[in-house]
Amino acid sequence: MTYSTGYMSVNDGITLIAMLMLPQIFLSEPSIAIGFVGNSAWLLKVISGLLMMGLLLSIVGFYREYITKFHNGKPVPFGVFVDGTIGVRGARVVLLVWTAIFEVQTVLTLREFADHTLITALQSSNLLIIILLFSVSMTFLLSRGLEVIMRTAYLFFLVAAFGVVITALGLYNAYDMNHLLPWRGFGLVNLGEYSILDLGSWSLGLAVLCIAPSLQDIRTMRRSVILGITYTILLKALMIASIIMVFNIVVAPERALLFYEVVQAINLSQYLQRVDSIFIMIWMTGGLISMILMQFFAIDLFCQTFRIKDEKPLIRLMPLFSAVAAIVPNSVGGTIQISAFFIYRVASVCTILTLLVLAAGYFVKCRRKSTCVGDTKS
Amino acid sequence: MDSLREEGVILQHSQTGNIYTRLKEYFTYSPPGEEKTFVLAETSEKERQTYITRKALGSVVHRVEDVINGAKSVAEVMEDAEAKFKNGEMDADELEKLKIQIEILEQRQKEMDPMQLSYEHGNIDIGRQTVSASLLENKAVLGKLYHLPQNMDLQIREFELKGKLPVKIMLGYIDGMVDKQLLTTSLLQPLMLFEYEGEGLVGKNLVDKMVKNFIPHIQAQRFTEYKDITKSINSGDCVIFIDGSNEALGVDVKGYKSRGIGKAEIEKTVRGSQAAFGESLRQNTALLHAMLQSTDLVTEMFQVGKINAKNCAIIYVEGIVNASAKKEIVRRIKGVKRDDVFDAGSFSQMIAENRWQFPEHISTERPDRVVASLMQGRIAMMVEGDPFAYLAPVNIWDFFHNPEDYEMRLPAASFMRILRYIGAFIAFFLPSFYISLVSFHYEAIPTELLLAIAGYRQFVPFPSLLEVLMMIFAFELIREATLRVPGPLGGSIGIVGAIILGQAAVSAKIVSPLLVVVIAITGLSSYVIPEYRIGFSIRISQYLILLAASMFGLVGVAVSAILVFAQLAAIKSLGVPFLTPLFPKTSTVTDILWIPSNASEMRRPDELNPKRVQQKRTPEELWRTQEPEQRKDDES
Repeated sequence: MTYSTGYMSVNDGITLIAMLMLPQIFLSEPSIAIGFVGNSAWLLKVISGLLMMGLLLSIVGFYREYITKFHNGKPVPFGVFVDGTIGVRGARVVLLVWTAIFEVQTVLTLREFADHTLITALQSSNLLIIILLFSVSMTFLLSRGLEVIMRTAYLFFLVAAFGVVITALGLYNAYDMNHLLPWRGFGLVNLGEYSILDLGSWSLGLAVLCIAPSLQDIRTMRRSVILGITYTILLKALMIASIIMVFNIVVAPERALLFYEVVQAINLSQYLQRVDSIFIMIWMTGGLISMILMQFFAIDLFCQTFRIKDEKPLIRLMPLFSAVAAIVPNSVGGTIQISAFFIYRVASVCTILTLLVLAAGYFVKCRRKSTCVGDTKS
Repeated sequence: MDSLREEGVILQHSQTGNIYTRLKEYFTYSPPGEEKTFVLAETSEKERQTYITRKALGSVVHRVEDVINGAKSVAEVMEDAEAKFKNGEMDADELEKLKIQIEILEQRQKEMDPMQLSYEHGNIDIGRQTVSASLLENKAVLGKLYHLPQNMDLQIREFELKGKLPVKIMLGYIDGMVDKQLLTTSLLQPLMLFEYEGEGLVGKNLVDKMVKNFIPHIQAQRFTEYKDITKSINSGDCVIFIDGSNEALGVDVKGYKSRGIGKAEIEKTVRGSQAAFGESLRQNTALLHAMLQSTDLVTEMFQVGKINAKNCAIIYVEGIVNASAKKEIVRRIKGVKRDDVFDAGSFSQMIAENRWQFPEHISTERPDRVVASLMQGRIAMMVEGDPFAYLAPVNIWDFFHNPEDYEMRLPAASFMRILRYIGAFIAFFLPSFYISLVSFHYEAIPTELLLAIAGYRQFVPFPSLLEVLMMIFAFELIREATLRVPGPLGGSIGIVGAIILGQAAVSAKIVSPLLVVVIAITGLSSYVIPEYRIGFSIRISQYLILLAASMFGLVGVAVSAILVFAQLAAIKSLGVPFLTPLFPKTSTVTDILWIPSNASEMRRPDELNPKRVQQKRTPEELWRTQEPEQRKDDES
């Protein structure tokens, strides 16, 4: 890829994390979250986001210790880090699991976006054509390299964030603040339980480790994690809070595409009464960039697993494969169900397990090999 | 026959082979090769320090060379005198010559004074040195000051003043800035033809004699310091150095053309400089020298074209421009192996990474714009016979700047900039929005307007895409016809064509009246961008977005917007990303929407990685922080 070592800044890191996770807010994520914890859904995003931030920072911490001890502080690809921590076989399993997570998320997001585009914007079109449009666009951008993807993502992150804030502001006359009170949810135990499961919706943040060699330093990585997740938490919580204040929790879980519904409720004046068409552009661009990033990391991790040096042939084929896989689910309802199961059960468990495996592997390796960096410091 | 068949086979093979290879390359594994793209790397603080240290070291070496040359001259004179004494050739005339030579050596010895040496030794800025009695030394200093031999602007002419002991003379002037006829008649002819008969005249006396008797010119100034000399040369004078003299003579032989050379026709401004480049490369470089009077302004010349070799120049300010950018552009120019370079536009494409769609060099006919860009650390390229300079590295925002922006007050200038950006946005998207809203998302249109559109469109037999394409095509026809028709007829055709065609198309119910308005606004918007070529690129991109909009509505517009933006993000202008300083963000995000205040303009654009980052070390309007004189007087 065209990003040379040390060229990516905090802005790129923030964009990466935010654009991987934010566009889910335009799909079924608010609906699922409200279904889980009711009025406290906005709080759910805050808690799970902070938990994920802690987890990611821990992995970044291990990564820093590892490269300081074994690579003289020189950043190494995620694959090398996992390989060095838990061995070749273990690394292959972990990398394959994460390849699958990124790829499945790409497929599910592609299908959901295509379905929602069909429903909201292109009623007379065909699902296959829309999937193909997205797939071809993904191929085009992926072939331009990470540098171009990140710069494009940076602009459209601003557009997406602007869209969320404008939507929240535009709905001010429909707000009922009482709906937001956390004790109106399904209870704190429920909130705690789902906060753990909701880690899956933040799991793609691990991508920041995949671009570690391209980031300027570990400080950049850490700041990217903190700021990227913080901005995403703020935007997600704001959007979910707006939805709850407008629809309350009785209506919200029944709707699959709450962002679109809530935008339809914006009525600014006689001439600005149906802005939903304009907002199609916002969630479309955000969604497409998100899919491209997911696909990129699926390919990147796959190449790291099998030590393939050139990603080019896969870049041509994988979007096509994702498009074919996206056709498999029967309906949008089925896609949302698979998505909910995958994100809130599989991805969340994998995120926690990865951290535990890496931590265990690292400590075992430290004990075997003289002293850890932390020990020498003390 | 066989050979023909063979050729045919070879051709067939090469064609199918080409397709096969391309397909193979597309889908199969190939080991990653070396990155060929040039990226303008960050100049580290260490590199900047090295540059300053190297400059200082250069000065030290220079002084040592000076001492060695002085010693060599003494040795030569002594050996010569010794030989003549031994051979018995030392008569009165020879003694007189020896006396003059010793006087010259004494002059030089004064320069070797340890105090003066140590002063000049520690002085990095050689422009502050004094004139040496040695012509060789003066030539070396001029060479260093004007970055010879790279710089082709400074011309040095050496000859001898005839006489008993011929005196070496050196003229220094900037090519293009002097009147060559005046130079020949008022300097070269008298100095070369007249015989110098003065006996024992050396140093100051010789300079006096030359001013009184040899130079039939109104103005001849005497200089002892290089800072005055460079000022004089940069303003178009010719400076005369005389061997054995600590003084130089500046003679006013200015001959560059200033205001009368032509007015900017494409980048018109109401205020500010109205000058534009001409077809003569030397005249153009002289114009730049007249506006940027610095010894650091360097013009490197290259001959490009095997059959029709044309002079191509790259112009930059040494000490500001990034060294690797300069090297890269030289590498690219030297790598152009064509029979002919048609003009600067095609030359710019030959050395550009990306030949498609968006230009990566700014073209300008205005010397003031070039000077401003050179001072920021950019490089200008010019070709003999073309009145346009091409600037690199640039970013997309630079294409929206107009020199007049800096003449106007901040709110007005910023308003004009915003207007241009809105213009570009409209030119990009308005027809596509129209098609999307009319064909797919009509619910977004207010009811009254929707009914009106439906009313207009009910008699139009064509789909909206065809309607839009027809109108855009008609607009482009009018534009092209206006350009090609000679003289004042062009403008008339443009206006008449637009009005009549639009009116007739609406009356004939070929297009709806609203569409005429949409296309007119789109067309006008594409012309508010000061750089003609980027406006053209936008109009071409419009077709892609139009096609996507007609197929997928706003979804298509969104997707094509991403693709166009990605295309822009992929472009690098001489190693600098096209969307800087926003994507990626650099530390000096100024001069995009609003004109920066003086305080924030103190740093040069970060993305250019110039050698000197600091543009102005002190606040440029110092008087604002000072107390008025009147108050001081009152208090006293």
